[in-house]
Amino acid sequence: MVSPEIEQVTTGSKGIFRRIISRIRTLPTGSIIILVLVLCGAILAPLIAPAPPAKIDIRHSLRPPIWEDEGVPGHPLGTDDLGRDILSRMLYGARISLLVSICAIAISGSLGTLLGLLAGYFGGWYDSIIMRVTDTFLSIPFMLMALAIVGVLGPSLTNIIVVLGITNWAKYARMVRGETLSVRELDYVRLAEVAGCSHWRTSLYHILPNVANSLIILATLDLGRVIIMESAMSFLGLGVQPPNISWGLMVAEGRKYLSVAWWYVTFPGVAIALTVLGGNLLGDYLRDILDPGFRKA
Amino acid sequence: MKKFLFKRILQSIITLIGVTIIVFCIVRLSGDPTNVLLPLDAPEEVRIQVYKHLGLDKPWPVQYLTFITNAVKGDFGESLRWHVPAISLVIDRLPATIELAVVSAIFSLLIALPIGIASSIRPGSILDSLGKTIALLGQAIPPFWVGMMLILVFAVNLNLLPTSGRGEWKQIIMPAITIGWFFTASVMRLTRSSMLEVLRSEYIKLARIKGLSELFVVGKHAIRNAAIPVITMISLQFGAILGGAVITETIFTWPGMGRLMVEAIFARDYSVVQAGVLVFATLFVGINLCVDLLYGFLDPRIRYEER
Amino acid sequence: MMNKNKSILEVKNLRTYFADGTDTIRAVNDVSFNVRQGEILGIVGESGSGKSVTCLSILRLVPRGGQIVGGEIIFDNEDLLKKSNREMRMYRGRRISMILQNPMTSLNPVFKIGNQVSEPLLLHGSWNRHDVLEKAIALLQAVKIPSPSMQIAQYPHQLSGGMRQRVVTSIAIGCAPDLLIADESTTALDVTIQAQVLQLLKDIREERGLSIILVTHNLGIVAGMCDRVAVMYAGQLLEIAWTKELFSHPSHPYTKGLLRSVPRLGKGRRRLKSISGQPPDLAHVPSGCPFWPRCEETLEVCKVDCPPVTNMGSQHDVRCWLHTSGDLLKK
Repeated sequence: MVSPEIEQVTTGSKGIFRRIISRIRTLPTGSIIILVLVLCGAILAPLIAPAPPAKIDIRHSLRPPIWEDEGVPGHPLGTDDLGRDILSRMLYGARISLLVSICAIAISGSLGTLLGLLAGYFGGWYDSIIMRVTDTFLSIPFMLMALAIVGVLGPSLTNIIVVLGITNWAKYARMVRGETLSVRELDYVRLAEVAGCSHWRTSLYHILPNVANSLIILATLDLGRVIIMESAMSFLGLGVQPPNISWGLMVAEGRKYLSVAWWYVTFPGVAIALTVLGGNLLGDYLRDILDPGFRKA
Repeated sequence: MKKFLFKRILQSIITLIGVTIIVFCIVRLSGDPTNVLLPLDAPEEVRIQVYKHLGLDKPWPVQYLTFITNAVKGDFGESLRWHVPAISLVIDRLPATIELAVVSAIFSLLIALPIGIASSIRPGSILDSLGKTIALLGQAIPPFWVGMMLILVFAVNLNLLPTSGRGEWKQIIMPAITIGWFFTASVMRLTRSSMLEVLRSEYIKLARIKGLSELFVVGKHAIRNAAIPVITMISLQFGAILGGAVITETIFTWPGMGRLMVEAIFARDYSVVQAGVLVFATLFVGINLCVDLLYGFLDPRIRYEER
Repeated sequence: MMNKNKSILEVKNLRTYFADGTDTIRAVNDVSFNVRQGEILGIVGESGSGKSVTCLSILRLVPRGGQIVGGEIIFDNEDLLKKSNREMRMYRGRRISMILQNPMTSLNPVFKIGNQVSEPLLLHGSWNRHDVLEKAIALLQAVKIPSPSMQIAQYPHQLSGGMRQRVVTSIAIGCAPDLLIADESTTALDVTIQAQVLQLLKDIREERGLSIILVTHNLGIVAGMCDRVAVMYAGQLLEIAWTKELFSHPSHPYTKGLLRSVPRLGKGRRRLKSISGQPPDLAHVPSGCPFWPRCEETLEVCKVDCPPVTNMGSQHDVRCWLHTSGDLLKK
């Protein structure tokens, strides 16, 4: 007779519990906190900003942060050349930066997913053509296209979102196509087709959920990249335009006063860096737990 | 190998054509150039004349062909601002940008490759942690901010380095760091992960079983294999370097193509924008092609068709 | 003159452990065996039984995270465990050699075959760059690769799986080692190729007097190739005997179970009997004999103490309470 202790010894019921604990321990708490803070800052900006971001107050122009000698209590991170509060502008800037980034990722993600699904699912001519176009877009550097588009259409908030969306879709398309190709051969997709599901239903219900994991990872990792691109464009004056506020724009504005007001340039830059860092760390973590087969530099 | 080469050249040409189409369409879509060229109250006949002169009355495909043929000859029209051929402005500034890009690239590789390799040999060590931190920061901190901070520290506070101009070796240090920052981080990360993966392979195990010293195992067997994806990435990243040049040149007033482009955009100087974009694209495609050749040379699987 | 009774390798009480977080994985747990000159010793076991780690331990190439914590490995009157890494490199490839499982990935894809075959020769031998290619061609001939002078200029991806395994074999025998370890070296190959490679190993053994440790989970290969067989389970060596003896008079219940689960042709129809249960997680091996949860002949003592090694006759050792002499069984 086989011993009844088999279960306990060979499957290790303690194993599952242990795995959950180790997952929680490896959570990138730092990055999650950062992202939550940024999100809250952006959403709650009207409530927590020390002063209206556009309020000009020449008496307090170029004041350093509160911990320095010349600092003023109402402006914890200092003021800009027009006396506007830096912290408030950063909070409102967070709104715009996040808005732009999320919209851009939404655009490129949707466009890329749609094309990738088409290419992967139908194959044949669709695949060849879409892939050629994707490769072309992938091989053109962002700055090149951005300069070309903005250079001619002129900079504006809408334009920058469009530019970011249009220049970024290719990598989503390529990834979704790859995943679609591999998922499509799986048995249950075949079964769905055999059972008579329409193409739409098959792709949406069966294929898409499998691709979702990788999409989430890619989008999260993309967040950082898009924020940097947006702030770079705004820095050059080709992105978000005044009176809108963007972190990149603030750094550009602060450039003139670099030698006298270090805080003007420093704090927005720190905000960008932290947000991007948070996004990257979170993306890495998600990649580790959701899809160990995912490869990206 | 020949097949590979042919395919790559074909791809490059298609990419270039793609860029020209994009540029062409955008310019045509942006509206009537005569509005920019002529004062608002110009009479109708003058408008029509200029229209015809610019060939704008012909159908789009014809316009495109004219555009292409001119482009190949290097004729992009005159700069609206400076009244010299647009292409000459671009070519003038090109060497400065190339200099900056090359110096940054070399500098970055000199740092990124050794640290990437060292960190893969001893994962979990202090060097590895250092490398990982540099990589994280490098990819998170925006390059233009790095440039600003460098200026703040080294120029404003310490007064060690100049903030603008080109000529002395001192002047290239900060710009090179600014562009190379991101690049260093990406290369380091990829080198490390590529090496880690290679070091796990069976043939590395076999190399050790043969009795080779670690130096040989890593230096001969591992590096050759790990280099392959890294080189591919370097060529892709070069586009980012050229892009970074735009920002860096603006911050450090470096007399390069990037700055020219930004200025031209603000001045609505379309011919210069077009010329710049296309030269930029040609440069980028050319470098990619060269790197791909190198890649074919390194990986025999590409060189010889599999039987 | 081959002295068939002299041992070239003696493994005594080898222990190799891995650290996994807070757990200790006893991959090799007090394993002892010897290999005599010119013999083929088979090591069989399921995945995770510790066969591969044992072999890697002999070469002191335990993977990261693992450590040899005890025992002796006597090779040619020297204890390999007391050698420095530098001294071990003199043994690797030259005195002791190994063939890995997967021929597709054993060869470095970016170097030519000639380069890879001559590498150990240049390293360990006295050939110079000019003669070594001739030697490489001779080696490829010895492993029966057609047109060897052409093959040395090829890259691995241009060769088939069977050819690659021959190349790997030629690398292994290049410096005329005394001991060759073949770790599941035919598992990834087609059956016909498998047979050829195994025959090749046999021929080499005849020609060169080489001793071979053949690690496999395939009892058929064991029956056809090995002089003696060792059975491993959960890091321990449960039984070792002459092949014929083991197949006809298996002592350990695990061995019996293994032999029963091999389908046989033409013996009338019987149900395939497999051993119930799964091999244990090596981080949580049950106390006592590791096999007791799946054993059909368990005694109470099995759950508590690890059985000692009992000698059952000529060269036949077993670790099982069932065969231990009477007074030790008294609780």
